[in-house]
Amino acid sequence: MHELSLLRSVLHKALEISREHGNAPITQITLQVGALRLVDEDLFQFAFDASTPDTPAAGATLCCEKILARVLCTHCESVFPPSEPVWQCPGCGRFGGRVLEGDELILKSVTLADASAGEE
Amino acid sequence: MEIPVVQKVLKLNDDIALLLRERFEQAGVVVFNFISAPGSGKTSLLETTIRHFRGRFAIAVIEGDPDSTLDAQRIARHGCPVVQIQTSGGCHLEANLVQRAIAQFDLDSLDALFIENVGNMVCPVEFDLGEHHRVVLVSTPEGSDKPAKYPKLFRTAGIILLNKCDLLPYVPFDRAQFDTYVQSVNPEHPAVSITATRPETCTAWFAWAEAKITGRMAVPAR
Ligand SMILES: Nc1nc2c(ncn2[C@@H]2O[C@H](COP(=O)(O)OP(=O)(O)O)[C@@H](O)[C@H]2O)c(=O)[nH]1
Ligand SMILES: [Mg+2]
Ligand SMILES: [Zn+2]
Repeated sequence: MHELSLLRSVLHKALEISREHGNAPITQITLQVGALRLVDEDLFQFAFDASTPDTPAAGATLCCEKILARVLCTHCESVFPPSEPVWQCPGCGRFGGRVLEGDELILKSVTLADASAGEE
Repeated sequence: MEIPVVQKVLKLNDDIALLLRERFEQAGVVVFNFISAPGSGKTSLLETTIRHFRGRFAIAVIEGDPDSTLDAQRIARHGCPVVQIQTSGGCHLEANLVQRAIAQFDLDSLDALFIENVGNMVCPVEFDLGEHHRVVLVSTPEGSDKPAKYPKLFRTAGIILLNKCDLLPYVPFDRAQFDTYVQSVNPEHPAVSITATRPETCTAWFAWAEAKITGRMAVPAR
């Protein structure tokens, strides 16, 4: 359940942003999650709900945008969407490849309630 | 109001791992991160390996466990410097824990550092500890489909060890299927058979580890 440690770092940053804006309530946190990341979204949501009460993030929506995986075959340079567990190049039939996309785990944005006070 | 951030969630861990890797490189220490399910034989292999390299390489060990110092006691019996990290239930090691642990070693006097991760085939995969090589163990009683169930772990392995081969006559284990899975998930690293409790079966592993350790001592890389 490493989702809890991942979430801790997300919340840390989100709360910092809220603080910079006069503790404005957070309404949404948007992440980009590559398909190759070992992140269970339900566990992530669960950890989120369990960690946010009594913080400006209470009641916020956790939004995970999925990024599909793309892999480059280092033999024939085909680019293909890998399917787990076996990555097989449709061009030459070889196994493996280099990840082009799908390994992202990014905090994309934090949305604050509009009525927030004390900002520029 | 949506405020763009665009920051890696694991940035803090990855930044520390980067610092650690630089520090290891300066000190000429080769670092191995051992990952497997609980009970696959990580501590047994460490004991056998420490004994094998005694007098040739200066080795230290970091033990990661949810609780207890039992594994550290096993290692300490071999006269090897060891730090036990208790994650208090945590399912993996993180770079900041390793950073704290290495403060207790004289890194410059070491040739290799073995980190035994918490027994788990998912969570440790996502956390860089500044290691140079990942050593993945799987033991024969666990079944031959492990590489298909945990492809990312096997994909990131620098070496894959099939342990408890002494039990092959007694457990259902399809070696051909296992090799096919390994080959398709990590074509560059075929599985090496060992019985961790019997050093005479570990020669291929010793040779691999020795090449990595001496290679690094000669050429500071990356
Ligand atoms: N039969 C057999 N038992 C082994 C082997 N390697 C380890 N074991 C046993 O498996 C159990 C778990 O080993 P341990 O090294 O503690 O695993 P760890 O949890 O991965 O550190 C212990 O009882 C070991 O004695 C092996 O190669 N063959
Ligand atoms: Mg152990
Ligand atoms: Zn190809």
